Amino acid sequence: MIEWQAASKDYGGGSPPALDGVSFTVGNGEIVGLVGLNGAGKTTAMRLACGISRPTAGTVSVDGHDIRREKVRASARLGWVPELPNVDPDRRALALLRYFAGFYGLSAPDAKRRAQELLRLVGLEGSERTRVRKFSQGMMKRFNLAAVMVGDPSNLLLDEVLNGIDPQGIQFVRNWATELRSQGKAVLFSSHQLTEMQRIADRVVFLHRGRLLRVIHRSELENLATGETRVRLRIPNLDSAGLAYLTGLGQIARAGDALELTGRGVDVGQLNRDLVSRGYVVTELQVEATSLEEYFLRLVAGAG
Amino acid sequence: MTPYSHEFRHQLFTATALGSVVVLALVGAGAGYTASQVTLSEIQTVYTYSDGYHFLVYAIGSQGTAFSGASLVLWINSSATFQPPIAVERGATDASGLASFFFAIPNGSYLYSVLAIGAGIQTETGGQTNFNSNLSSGTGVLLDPVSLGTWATDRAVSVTALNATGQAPVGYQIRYIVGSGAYFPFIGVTPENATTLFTTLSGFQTNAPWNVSFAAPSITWVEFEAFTPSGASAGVVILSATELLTTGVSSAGASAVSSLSAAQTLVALLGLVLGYARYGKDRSMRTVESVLWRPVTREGLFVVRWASVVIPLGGGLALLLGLTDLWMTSVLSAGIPLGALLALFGVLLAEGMAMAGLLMLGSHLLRSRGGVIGLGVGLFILFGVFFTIFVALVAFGTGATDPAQVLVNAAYLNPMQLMGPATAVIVPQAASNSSGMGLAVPLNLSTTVTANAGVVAAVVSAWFAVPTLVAFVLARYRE
Repeated sequence: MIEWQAASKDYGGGSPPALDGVSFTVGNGEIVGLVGLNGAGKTTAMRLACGISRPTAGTVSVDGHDIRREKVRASARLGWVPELPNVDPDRRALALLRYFAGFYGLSAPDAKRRAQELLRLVGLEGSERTRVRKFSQGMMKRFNLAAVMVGDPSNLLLDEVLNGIDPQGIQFVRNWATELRSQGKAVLFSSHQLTEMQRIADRVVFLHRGRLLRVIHRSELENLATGETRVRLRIPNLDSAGLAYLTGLGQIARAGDALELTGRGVDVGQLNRDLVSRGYVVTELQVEATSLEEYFLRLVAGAG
Repeated sequence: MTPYSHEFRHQLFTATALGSVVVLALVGAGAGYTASQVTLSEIQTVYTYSDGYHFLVYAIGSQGTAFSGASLVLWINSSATFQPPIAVERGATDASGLASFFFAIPNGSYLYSVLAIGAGIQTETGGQTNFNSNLSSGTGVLLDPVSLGTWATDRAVSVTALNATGQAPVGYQIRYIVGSGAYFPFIGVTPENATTLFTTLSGFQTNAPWNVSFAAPSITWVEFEAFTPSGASAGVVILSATELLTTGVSSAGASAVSSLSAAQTLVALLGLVLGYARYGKDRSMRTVESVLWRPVTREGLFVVRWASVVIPLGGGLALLLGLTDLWMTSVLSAGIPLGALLALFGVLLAEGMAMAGLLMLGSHLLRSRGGVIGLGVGLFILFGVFFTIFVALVAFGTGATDPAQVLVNAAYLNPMQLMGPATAVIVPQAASNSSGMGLAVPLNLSTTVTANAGVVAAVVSAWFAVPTLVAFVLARYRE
């Protein structure tokens, strides 16, 4: 669990604080999305959590260990994938991972095994002796994922990891983040790709100009976004009673056994349960909530 | 293995760290070899006539000691030039550096020429036998200063006293008198009661040279004089401060210092390279962040990285000085005293760490790789070339009026010349210029204090510690 408590960061020089009294938590087994415009304080929040920056006020703790007072203990439980690569570009991939592994008490043979395994996992097998500066942007992102996994941290900070990677890479990150969640790890995930965020985040924290604007749960987000939720359904045995039930929830567009329901306040979970309890076979249920992006922009516009 | 021990081990076993140790060790071996090379330096020739001409040739090595095994050729010509030699003799110096020649020719005026070859170097001397002997009264003694100064905390001089047959004339006394300030040349008339008995000669010249040390730091000249048993002056040699205490020194220690002077530049360079490789590069490129978020603290990481600079430098310097000393000891049977070794180790390490510390400090202020590399080059040029000019400008700006003094002060304050002040303390060399020797405090460069071990240690410690401490504070607090 990572916890920001009234965390502030002021770089001075007359500019407004990069982070201003922000409090939120990333729980174990949870993916929390961090959304904000450029300069909103997302990266600053992460840099405070991993001890690269120090808060000017407030605290950040990792699994209960204050990152300032118990830096070593807190950092041993944390992994950070920065937005921009920060590893020595002159080092070779395998050697660098082995070096990083040494910080977590791995013996030399274990570190080598672990480094090779991780390079395979992120799809960089065969690049063991390649200098990191020769990696493409996408390869560098993958390498950074390996570099963060080397310590097997229980808390992760992923800063704009989706930037510059191909669809296959995005799928990898998505699956990886979901896997981390299923392992009970706490994941803070910042990205401008809000569609992706919407797919994997359990909660979304909105930052704006260093302040916490809102924290919403995913189901809440879907409803709050525009007040409308769009659900695509495929029900082969739908009859008139079922159609009447759906019509009561919102507007229906039908093409064969495929339906599109658009309505306000649709609780998708409840909808699914109702349909099943009435004996309908739901072969497809896809939620297409109004975009998080629109919601976010409205939120930011409202905040001024 | 803890994160810190892992980091330390990782930083230590790198090409730059190990390479530095190897390079310093090689320089040490080179310095030892150079300092141990006894080459033929000069020859002294005396002659006298007794049923023929007796020549005695004394070969002196570059360390001021007897040079054995020099090949000698001695020609005797008539006084007319371009005549074929009347006689030619060949020989070699013995363990005492002596070789004697005898020419059974009538007493008269001849040209003589001696060629000596030793250790690839040859030297020649010659003259004319205008008198019966070039020694006083034919039975006099030649006082020969063969070694001026030693590698020690006091000044010393060695002399030989020879008669024409290579013997110390029995019953003769050699006395000396020392003084400070300008020498007043009363050659041959020094009152005996004003001199100190050095030795009374009693036999063959097998234990030459005789040595005497002077603890008084203000001595600027020494006069040796030989007296016959009846008290008549039989030979004089006067050594001025310049001869006594400066570049004319030919002891093994001075040779070692001279050889090690190259290490001074090398250590500065290695300090900059190691400071950059172990810390400056990561800091300026911000790649240090890839480590800082791992289970280490900022200050812990700094200390480990600093240690990974100081240990290769210290280890390399220990090898450098150790090999120099070992080589000299094995060849010359005399090395560098432990105190001098420690002092040299201290100042050279401080110099390297000063440069490393300055670069580490700069890497906190310059956020680009090129900037930090440029800083390193700049520091090397600044302290190697422009520092004296800089100090002079500041000194004259603060009221200094003596250019010579400013130069001395600049040398004393320059981290790339820390060997200078230390050597001055180890081997005082300033007698001829004692008023110009000293150390100025930076805030008022026109004020001079006397150079002593404490002041030198303070300056050395300051260069060692201050840049590093400031860099440490920045590492701790500057993001």
